[in-house]
Amino acid sequence: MTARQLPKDIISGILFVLLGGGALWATSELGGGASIAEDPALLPRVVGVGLIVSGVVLVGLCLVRRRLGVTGADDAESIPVDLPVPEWDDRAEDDDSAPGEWRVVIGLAAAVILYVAGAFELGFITSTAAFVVAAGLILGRRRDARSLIVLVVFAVVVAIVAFSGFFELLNVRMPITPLR
Amino acid sequence: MTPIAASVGSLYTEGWSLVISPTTLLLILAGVLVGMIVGAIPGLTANMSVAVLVPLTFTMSPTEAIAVLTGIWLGSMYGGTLPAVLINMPGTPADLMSTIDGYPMSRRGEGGRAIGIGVLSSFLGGTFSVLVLGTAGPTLAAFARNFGSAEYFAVAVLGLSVIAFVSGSSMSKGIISALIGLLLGTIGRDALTGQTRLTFGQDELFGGLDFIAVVVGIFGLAEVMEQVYARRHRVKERPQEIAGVWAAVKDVRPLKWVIARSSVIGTVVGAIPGAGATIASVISYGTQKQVSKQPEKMGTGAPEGLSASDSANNAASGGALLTMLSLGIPGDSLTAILLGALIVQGVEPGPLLFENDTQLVSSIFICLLIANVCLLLIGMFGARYFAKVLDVPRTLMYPLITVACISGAFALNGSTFDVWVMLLSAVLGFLFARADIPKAPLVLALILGPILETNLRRLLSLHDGDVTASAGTLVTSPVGLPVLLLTAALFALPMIRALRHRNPARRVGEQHPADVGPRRK
Repeated sequence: MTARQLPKDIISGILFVLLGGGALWATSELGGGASIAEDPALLPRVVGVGLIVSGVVLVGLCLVRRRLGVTGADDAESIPVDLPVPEWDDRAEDDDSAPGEWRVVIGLAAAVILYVAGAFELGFITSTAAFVVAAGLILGRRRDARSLIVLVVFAVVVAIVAFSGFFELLNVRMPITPLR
Repeated sequence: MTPIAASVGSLYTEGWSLVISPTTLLLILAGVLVGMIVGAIPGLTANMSVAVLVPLTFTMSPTEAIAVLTGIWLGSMYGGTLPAVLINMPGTPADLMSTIDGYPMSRRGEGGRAIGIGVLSSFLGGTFSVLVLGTAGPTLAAFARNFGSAEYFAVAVLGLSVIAFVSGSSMSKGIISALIGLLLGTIGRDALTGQTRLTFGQDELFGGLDFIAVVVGIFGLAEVMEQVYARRHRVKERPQEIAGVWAAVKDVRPLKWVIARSSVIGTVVGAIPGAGATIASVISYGTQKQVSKQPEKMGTGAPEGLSASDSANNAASGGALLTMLSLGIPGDSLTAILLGALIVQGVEPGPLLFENDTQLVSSIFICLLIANVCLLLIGMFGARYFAKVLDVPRTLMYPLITVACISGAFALNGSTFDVWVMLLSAVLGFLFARADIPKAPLVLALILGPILETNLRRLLSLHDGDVTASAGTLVTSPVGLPVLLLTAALFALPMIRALRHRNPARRVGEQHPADVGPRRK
């Protein structure tokens, strides 16, 4: 079975077990007080154990469902409610089998990280304007002259308004950067 | 019982001097307008709009901050009705039941009437709940003044237990989400011993994660990414026409009992810690279907269905604020954000707030009333203009929201560390959506966690760490025991229902209402 074929509940369950284990490990050196009430590790450890148990339950339920050939929300802990369900317009919705827009998400995420790195090192206004233009193009904005002009003007306005609104108005000190 | 600190009458009068200033009134109006615009865009939730704009309120007075934030909240709730009616897609999850009858009305040319019914029902439901807040708030606060650690611990556990109801089809995923929220809440210096926990040597983490940064990431940037992943940026909406909004005025009289019943349901459900507007509208719609004289017409464009949903989801606002202001316990994820915003302002919601700062509580109450009036006027006069929001290209809207998230996170403390916390929270929120894990329990647990932990440890220390004696105090408390029994029932009921519905024929096509919503895969 490849990683792609593993149901997401199994992957999630394993990750939660690891996270719970990590919480127990990270709190293992915390000094306990004279009583349980003074132990700062009390809640993190309870949560760590809870995450491990919940992760195991999640994986177990998923394996049981697979063994019984049950899919979706049709499991013992599903909560059926006798209410009408809205019929959704499916123009932009995916079913479980359809791949999502991973390429665009990754492209936008990369632009966001570059923007964050640049905005507070190089300059907020310049970086913001550049980000808005880049993000618009990544999201598939048309590249004819009129659309591009609108995008650039919008980007500059957003950059100036965001700078004035968040930093001038709130008196937040910005790092001194080469590009304003 | 302790005498009521803030009399009911004083709540109606004392805060006017704080509210009747051009700035505050303008902020309420602006909040409602912004909320309506954001709410009208499918996928952009009330949580997102409030969370992203919280940092802008830091330089305001508490009254101004709450004025603008409640305006956004109520505005987005109404704004969400527009796409629900016009394109069969709720603008916010709380409006999901509005699509069932709203869109069929719109398709048969009654879009304006449907929106009018939505506005009037929202206004009446919202106003009713605010009046309940003004009446019940001081009483509940006076009652809660006698709360000790045991009672607060029990109420915090109750808040977390409602996760069973807001977790969609999988309770275990809701519990996991809450556990992660609790874990994130323990990062930083322990309030009782001063020891640092889970900071990994990072000085910036000594004070804990900034709640607002986490919320902006989870509800703001993560939702942008989810929308992109679901290809919403490629959609060109084709809304139905809007005409005849004012025709809905004639519908109010025949719908008066629907609105009254739904307002009561919305207020009560909203007041239950952890519930919220979505659950309120689902329960209200279900109740209306059960009591309706023509249940077969519901789902085909029946005004009573739309009215039941819209009255309840706006009425939930007053209920949720009632719990937040009088107990200091958030009623839902949105009031958790409001609670965070008030704490930043130096305001500590809870029973003592009603005693120590009646004027502020009164001003919040009055702001809500004015926001409801703004909602009525703008909603009735401006519906056709707000529908134009659906035409705004997402290729411009999503970058704009991203910039607001990043700038807002930096503005919290003037630190890029908060921006990275926000980004990591966004990644977490996006992964949660991919794994079908609800985000609301995490946010609730993040704010309830410290309340729960502090009171549990105080309770234990009162008994020198004796767990049995502490449990004894908890179950002998007149508040603790009923609350804990209610908590147990909330966990057990969904499971009992699930077992009763194990007949496979009945399960086909059934979904938990919390799972219903624009699928963002």
